[in-house]
Amino acid sequence: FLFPIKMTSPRMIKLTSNDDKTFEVERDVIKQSVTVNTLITDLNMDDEDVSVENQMAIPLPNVDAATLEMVITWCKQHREDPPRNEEEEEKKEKRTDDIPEWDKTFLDVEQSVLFALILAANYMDIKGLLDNCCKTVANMIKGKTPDEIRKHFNIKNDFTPEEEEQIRKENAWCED
Amino acid sequence: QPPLTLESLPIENILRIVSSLDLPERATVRQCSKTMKRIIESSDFVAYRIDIKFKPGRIKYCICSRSCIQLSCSTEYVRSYESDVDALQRILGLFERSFRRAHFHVFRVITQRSVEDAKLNDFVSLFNFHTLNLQMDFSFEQSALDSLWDQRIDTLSIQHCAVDTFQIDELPRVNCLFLAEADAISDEDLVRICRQEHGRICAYGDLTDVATIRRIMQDCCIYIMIISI
Repeated sequence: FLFPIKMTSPRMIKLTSNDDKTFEVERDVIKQSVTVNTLITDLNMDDEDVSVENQMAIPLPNVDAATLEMVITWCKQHREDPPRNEEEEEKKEKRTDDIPEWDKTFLDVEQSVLFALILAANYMDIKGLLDNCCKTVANMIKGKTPDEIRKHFNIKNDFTPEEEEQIRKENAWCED
Repeated sequence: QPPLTLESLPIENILRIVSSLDLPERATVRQCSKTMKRIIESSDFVAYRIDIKFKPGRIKYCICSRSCIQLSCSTEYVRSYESDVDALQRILGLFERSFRRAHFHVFRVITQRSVEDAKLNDFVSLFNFHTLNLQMDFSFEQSALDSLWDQRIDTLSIQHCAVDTFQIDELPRVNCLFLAEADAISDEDLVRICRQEHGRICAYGDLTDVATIRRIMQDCCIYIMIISI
């Protein structure tokens, strides 16, 4: 006897970006977003009787399509990551040399894209992505002088010469 | 829409970025613009905490902010205290010279579990403060604290005190607060002390350098030092 094996397709969730593009993503992948996860739970969207076609899309008004696509890609890559213990993470020594190789390559993008990812990760509450984005920016700052940081991040020096001299004196110790 | 920039990120995100930088790097970011300076200075000392390894020994320094300086050394260090006294004297000498120059008064709370009285007194004598060194063994009570106010104590060491039972808010206001065995004090309590005593964060420095300490102290009036042993 051959019994038919019931193939259960993964539960899908629809997300809509602020420029009206809808993405279908596996429930198991997007659970890394605390914001989306909470919405799914609160709205009883885990109901298996509702097909993805009839499912309401979750609007993400603070995230554009290009960024959302990147967020989903990141979540897919990290779907097997063990759940984070935020309390433990807070206690850990802050380091910037522990970004996984895949993330390093993935986050090697233009600054505006990286900052958009930070905003999206913050809004969607994806701590792992947020952490690695912030560490990537921190690595861009490391080893640079104030002038180099301003140039790199297009920051306008709005100190008066007197203020600049004062703050330079205050920070002279770190130039030793 | 203008392109996103570092400065246009929400403060919480900028602080998250800055929190993984070392102290000198944070100071460098502070130099970039008024916005960055304001953001760096708006955060509490937790965001500034950093350990700097002291080369000769097993002592770690931790400068928290203008209002909070932390010096910590490992348990192993305390155990080897006798053999490493020169290093300790050299380190404490830095503080001694700087504080004495600044005419600091000291309020000192020490809870010692593993170090004998003699060693505590060594700490006090090394600092050479005008010290009333009370050796106390109690939990904090309001009446005791009131009497401390009256006596204008410069330095107080308290032994065997259950750190988690004393009320930090009730401590007398002092120019310098010394806590030993401070690991049991939560960051939240330290933040509270900082806010209560000073509230602003502007100067940083490497405590391995006398000139730096002097620079830091030039325009600061209140320090909290934690000696964690």
